[in-house]
Amino acid sequence: MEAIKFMLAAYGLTIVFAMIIACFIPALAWAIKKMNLDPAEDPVNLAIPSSDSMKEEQAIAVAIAVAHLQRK
Amino acid sequence: MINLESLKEIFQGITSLLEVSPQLALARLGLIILGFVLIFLGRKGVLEALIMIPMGLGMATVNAAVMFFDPLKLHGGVGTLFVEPQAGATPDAIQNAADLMMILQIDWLQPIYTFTFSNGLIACFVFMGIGSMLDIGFILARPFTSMILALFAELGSFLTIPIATWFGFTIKEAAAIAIVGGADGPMVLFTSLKLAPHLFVPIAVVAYLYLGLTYGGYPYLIKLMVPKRLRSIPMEAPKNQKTFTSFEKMVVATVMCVLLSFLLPVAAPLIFSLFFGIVVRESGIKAFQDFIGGPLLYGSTMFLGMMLGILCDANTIMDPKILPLLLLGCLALLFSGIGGLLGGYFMYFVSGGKVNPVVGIAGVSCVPTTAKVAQKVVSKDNPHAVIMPAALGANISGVITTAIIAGIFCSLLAKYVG
Repeated sequence: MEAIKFMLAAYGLTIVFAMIIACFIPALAWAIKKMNLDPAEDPVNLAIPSSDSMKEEQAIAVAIAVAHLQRK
Repeated sequence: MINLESLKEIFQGITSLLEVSPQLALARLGLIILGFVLIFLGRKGVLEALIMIPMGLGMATVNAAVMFFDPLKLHGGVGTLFVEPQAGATPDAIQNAADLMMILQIDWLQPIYTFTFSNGLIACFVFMGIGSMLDIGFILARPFTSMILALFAELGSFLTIPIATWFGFTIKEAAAIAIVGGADGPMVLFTSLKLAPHLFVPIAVVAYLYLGLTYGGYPYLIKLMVPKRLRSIPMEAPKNQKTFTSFEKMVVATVMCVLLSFLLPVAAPLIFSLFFGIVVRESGIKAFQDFIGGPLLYGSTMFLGMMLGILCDANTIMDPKILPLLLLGCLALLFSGIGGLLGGYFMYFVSGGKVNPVVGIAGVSCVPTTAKVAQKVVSKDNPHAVIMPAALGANISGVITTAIIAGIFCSLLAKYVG
């Protein structure tokens, strides 16, 4: 009897938790879309510590090239 | 001079076979043969090669290499130089720290067992790797359908509990055995370590053996329970289906990880590992993803299979509790399969015939095997029917519900005595 009570209690709790997650997922996805948190800029190379975005890297490359030209 | 006694000393594997009880000797020979069979079936692709080949070789070798060596005096004078699973497992299985130090130094795989296996670390590593393969976009597309299918497919994780207590197991032991119905290897390791460490080895071995075998049996269960007319139903994508960016998926996974850990702190190591893999996948840190999904996952799986094989020595397997365990593990997975298909029928009726009932079997959570089984069976009856996206949603939800169940079992039974 004790095992059956435990089984029912555990199944009930699992259903409650799973339904919380199921309700929570669309709500959270909606909130993220509404808040417009998604970064629109080119993604940076996250594998390199303190890396710059593609645009910034291009700008730095141009600046280095200009500096070389000026030295000549 | 070489006499009979010195020959006995040299060939201890043979001598120990002759000097133990006939049952134990037969069990050793049987397990050596089973090891060969597992390697063969793994190589043929009938069973999961990644686990079965290292497990089969470990099992065959450990039962061959038995010698007169038993430093903790637990096995009647014989043992192996591979691992002592009981070292430190219970307070009476070890005298003091010096005993454990000696075992760590002399048993070849003991450091791997003690520092990664018996503390659940390897389960967490495997879970990280699994997480790095999961696309939670499939759940985000159909959250309710996926979760309901997964809940039905957990039937075995619950129904097995009263049956196991009827066999004489305590509730803690019964819960550790029943989680086999969740069909998730790392979860079985974690829960059995928390609730029944003395049964950890046989439960883990039974679970992994059945996980390999059952997927061969599920197609027959599907054909038995679902007629061809229903198996052929094509599933269309939901109307106005939203798409989710990596960033959105990452934020959802991060918040879910924190929420689930807050609700079920006992299972937080597993929850964190799973969602860490998902977050790394969606974050775009390719170097981390390559490491977790490659060397970490495959290295952990290799050692997991090898350790499971090494732990299958006849002394451990001859435990009288093993036979009911074999039956209960099989029942748990059978109930979960039946529950999953009942869930499929439930969604079929609720959706007005739009959901293929076969998709329910994918709620049994071994990713992505059951989803592949469901698609394969459906493709044979209707090559144009695609159920994979819905199946993967149920599959990933199955992993999450099994983590929830592990947390609930461990939390409810933490202070339970008996």
